[in-house]
Parts: sequence; C-alpha cells; structure tokens
Amino acid sequence: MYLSPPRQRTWSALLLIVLLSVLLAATSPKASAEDIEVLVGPSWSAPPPDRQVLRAVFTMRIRTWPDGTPVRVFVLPDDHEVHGIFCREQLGTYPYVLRNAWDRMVFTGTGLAPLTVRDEQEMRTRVRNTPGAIGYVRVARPSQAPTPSTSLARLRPGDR
Amino acid sequence: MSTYPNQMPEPAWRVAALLMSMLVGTPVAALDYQVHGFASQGFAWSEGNNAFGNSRSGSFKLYEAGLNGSLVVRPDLLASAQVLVRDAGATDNQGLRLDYALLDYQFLATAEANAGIRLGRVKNSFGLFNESRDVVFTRPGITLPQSIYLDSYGFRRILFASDGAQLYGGLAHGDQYSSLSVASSVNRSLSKDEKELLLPPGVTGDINVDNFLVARLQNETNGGTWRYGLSYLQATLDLQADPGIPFDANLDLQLYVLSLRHDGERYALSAEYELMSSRGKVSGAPDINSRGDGGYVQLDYRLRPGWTLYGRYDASFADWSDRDGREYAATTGSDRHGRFTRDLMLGLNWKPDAHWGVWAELHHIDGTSSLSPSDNRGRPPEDQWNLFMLMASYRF
Repeated sequence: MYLSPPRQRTWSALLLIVLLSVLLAATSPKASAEDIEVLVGPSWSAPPPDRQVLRAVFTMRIRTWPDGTPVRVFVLPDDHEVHGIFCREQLGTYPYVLRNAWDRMVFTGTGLAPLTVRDEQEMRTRVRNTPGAIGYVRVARPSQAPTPSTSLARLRPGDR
Repeated sequence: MSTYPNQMPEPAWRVAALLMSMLVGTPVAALDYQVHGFASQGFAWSEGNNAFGNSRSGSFKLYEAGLNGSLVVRPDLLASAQVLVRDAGATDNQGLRLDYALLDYQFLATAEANAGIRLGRVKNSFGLFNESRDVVFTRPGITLPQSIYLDSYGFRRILFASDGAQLYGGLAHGDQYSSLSVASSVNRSLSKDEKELLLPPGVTGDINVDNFLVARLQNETNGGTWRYGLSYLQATLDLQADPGIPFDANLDLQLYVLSLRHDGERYALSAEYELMSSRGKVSGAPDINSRGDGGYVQLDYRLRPGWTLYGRYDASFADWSDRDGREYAATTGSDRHGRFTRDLMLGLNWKPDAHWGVWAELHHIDGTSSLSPSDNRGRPPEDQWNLFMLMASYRF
C-alpha cells in the first residue's frame, strides 16, 4: 500500500510512540515488603473486598455499598509513605494517578473526592466512627508469612 | 435566537426545578456535599506574534477561576454545578459563566459494572483532557495541545460542554476498566468571541451548532496507569450572515481522536492524534471537502517530589495532504504558514503542596494557523515566533 511521504511520517511517528510506551511499561509498580490492612467500620458485613472492589471504591466510581450505605473513603495525604505503598501494592497505581482521577471527577461534577486524614491514628478513629467507611493502615507483617497479603480489619467501637 | 448563548436553556431550568422538588423532601442536615474551587493567573510574553492579549509587551490577560459544589441528594443521585470566570486575551472575554450544572443518576453501581445518565450542562468526555481543561492542575500544562483541543481555532465552545444528556457506563474485567460515554446536545449559538475566530474578516452573523454528538470509548489499566481511547465528535455549523452580507455557510464537522497515556513511577507519556473532516457549502465558493489532522506527544518527567519537567511537540495541519501548505500557497497566493502550526515546548512545574502550583513554559512555534486574529489585528503574522508563559494557581 503506497503512502505519501507525509503519511509515512505520521505512521512512523505513531509507531515510535507505541514503541516508547512499551519501553516505559517496564516501570510498572512493584510490591513492597509491608502489609497494608484495609480498614472498614463496625457495620461491615460483606467478605473482604477484592482488588476490583478496592479499585472501584478508591477511584470513587461507586458511591454506595450493595446494602445501600454510602461509601465513605478515607485516604492518607498524597505524599504519605503508607499511601504510596497502598496505591502500588493494593491498587497497582501511583498516588499522582489517583489524584488526577479524583481531580477529574471533582472539576467535572461527576464525583466527590475522598476525605484526607492526617495520619494513621486519625484514620482508625474516622473509620471506626463513620458508617460505610473504608480506609487503610500499615501493619507489621507476621514473620512466618512469606508474601504480602490483603487483610481486612473491622474496627469495633472499643478498638484503639 | 438567543443573544446570550450562556444563559441556561429551558431543559436545564426544568432539571433544576426537579432537583429543588426532590430537595424539599430531604432533611438538609443529612446530605453529604463538597465545595471545591481554583484560581489561576497567567502571564504571556512573546516575540513575533501576540497570544492571550498583547503578549509582545507582556500580557496578564490569562486567568481562570471557578467555584463548584456537589451534593449527594440520594446515594444514586448527585447534583453538581460550577461557575467559572475566564479571560484568554481576545479569544475569551465572556467573563462569568455557568461551566456545568447537572444531575447525575447512577442506576447501576457495582464493582464490576456501572452506568448512569447526566442531565443538564455536562462536560464532554473527549480525548484525555477535554473534561477538565479549565483547571491547570488537570491539564498537561498552561496550554492545551492545540492540535486536539482547538482552543485558538474557535472550537472551544463546541468541544467543551453539552447542554443536554450524557449516557455513561463501564465494565471492570480483571485489571482493565472499559468505559463508554455518549453525549448529545440541544442546538445552540456561538458567542461573539467564538464567532470572531471562525468568521472570515468582514463577515458578521450568527453561527448555530446542531446535530451535535460526542462519544468516547476508553480503556484503563490498574486504575489508570495505562489509558487509551477513541473519541468522536460531530457537529453541523450553520452560518447565517447579517442582512446585506451575501455569505452563508453550512459545514458538517467530524472529529476523530486516538489517545494514549501511560503513567510510570517517574515518567508520564501522553500522545493523541486527531483527524478533522469538514464538508459543506459556502456561498460563492466551491464546496468544502477537506481533511486536516494533527497530534502531539508529551513526556513528563518527575525530577523529584513536587517538581516535574515536561516537553511537548504539537503539530496541526489544515490539510493532511498538503502539510507544508505549498499547494495552498500555489493555488491561492496566500502565505503557506497559515496552514499549519508546529509547536515545540519545554515546561517546568512546581507543586510546593497540595494546594499551590506554578508553571513555566517556553514555546517555539513555526506556522500561524493557530493565531488568534483578534489578538493580532492590523499586523502581518510572523512565520516563526516564540512564546514564554507563566502561571500560578491555587486549588481547594
């Protein structure tokens, strides 16, 4: 198929971009050695959320749980170490990518931003006291466990 | 025909009335809501041609500020609105306007699939950045790539938002999330500023936009580290010149955009390609049947936390079979440089915290197709020119 020189240049440019993307794909998020525990409030009654649910919730795509309770998402600040680990390990993405997605929703009127808490202590307090809440904290990995895992902690009213 | 194109049309008033009636039945204290906003001030300084006002002497005529609110009326019903004030030299002097005002009813919301409908004035999902183009934090620099987002070509109003309805939905499967959004709009008129960019010199009249449809099919991986998509937009522009001016035109536009975005730990790559097809009649001239295209590639590099270096090459062509404009110049005797724009840009962004951002960009531009006629009245355009821009912005 004959392509005129300008069209050849267009196709070459597109091919170059695709090749460049494939090269850059080598920089995908890597798992860390920490355990991130997903926190939910006392009224949680479902099985632990899988990655698909976590992604849907933390990209603010779903606003209600199956039982109709509003989803209340709590996150640590974008530059917090634990937030970075949570993004990479549990969601397979980066803090700034999530922030861009939240900003797009907020500035087009198509969703709310998650609530940012200052530290893990405030995270526990807010999740415990808010119906439908979900968040995350770091926990030390038990020495016998060889690989990171998603665990789910349900905070009871008396929990610290 | 309305002389105030940004007045809310009748369907939007009906939607607002519906919202009020629903609110009356709901205790106000129980409703969840958020308020956000932003304010950006820019500075442009150029040699050669003007942009964003008289930039050859330095221009501050570039600012954007907005305030929005979102209210969760019911878990499946969100009501949002944003007001915006914007100045972009002579290409945008409209002042305060309603940016969006919508009701979002999500009738399906599970982790595997979601779907809904938005009614009112809704931002169009088109390409990577159209939805949030007025907020500098959510676009790829102080300026948008002109090859795709056509700010200076006078198509802003057509691209930006629809007064009508948008259907959206998505499916999550494994690491992927695929989404489709389709929007249609009631017919509307272009504002005075937009008409100035599109109308030939000496012609005044009204331009109506009808048969409007915009759609985007997009796939995301891992919550967004890879995004690629296909966007489509169509519109019919109908020009009725003022009495006494024998110039009418009817133009069918179709835009196709291919988009790619990859976000890595330290790098982000964005690339888009657009094909624009125009077909129609202009009185007293041969029928129009032309294809223009353009595209850009941008690389962002996160030097260190808070600092991003970015570079972009953005090129657009009025005729994809005559990219250097020589055929056009030979046929019409006009300058070939008015048929393309090639923009090489380098920028630096600093975000000291979650609220503030500062941007600096230097553009070296070859070609004059993206020049704003109103900013460059009475002077012949320079084929090659340089533009330096700064912007500071605050968001909450």
